Amino acid sequence: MADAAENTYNTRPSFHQKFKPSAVKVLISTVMSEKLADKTYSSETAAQWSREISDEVKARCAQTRRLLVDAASVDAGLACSGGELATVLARIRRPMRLQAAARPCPPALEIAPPPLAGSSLSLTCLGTSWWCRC
Amino acid sequence: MVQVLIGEQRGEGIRYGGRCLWDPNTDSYAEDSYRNDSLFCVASAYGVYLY
Repeated sequence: MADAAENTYNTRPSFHQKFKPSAVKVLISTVMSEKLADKTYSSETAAQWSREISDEVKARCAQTRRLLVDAASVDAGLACSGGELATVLARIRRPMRLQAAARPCPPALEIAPPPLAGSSLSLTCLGTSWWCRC
Repeated sequence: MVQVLIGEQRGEGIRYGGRCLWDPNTDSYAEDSYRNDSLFCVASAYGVYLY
């Protein structure tokens, strides 16, 4: 006896919802360098700094995830016009796959301006998903 | 979940631990450390998927 309705719950995150340690490590290191570069240890303010760093890391993680999801769900042309998105994707060094809605898409798309000097970011259509390389 | 430790840098070694319960199929963590002349900082972020 098979159920007529197909199950709609998720048992695992899709690829672009996954936590990506390599991207987050870069993010953590950036936040710490920004916050602590000119600081000297002081036992009174250390607690406050650590709270600020953790809030900042949390906020940036949430933002990265939202941007990646946006890239997957909106039209690629629109997603790529945002400089912020390009910066976030460029932090993820290795090629990654972006799921996109099944709709006709151009075969390849260069992102302008390049996210980092001397680098380029391109999206290639693989039918229903995008291949992102930077 | 993010955990941050800041301490004074006096050239000694330290041991530091953090734990989190997670599902190896979906969750992960990232950490990095920073140090300058007067302080060190260790930050770890745990990504836990809720479903």
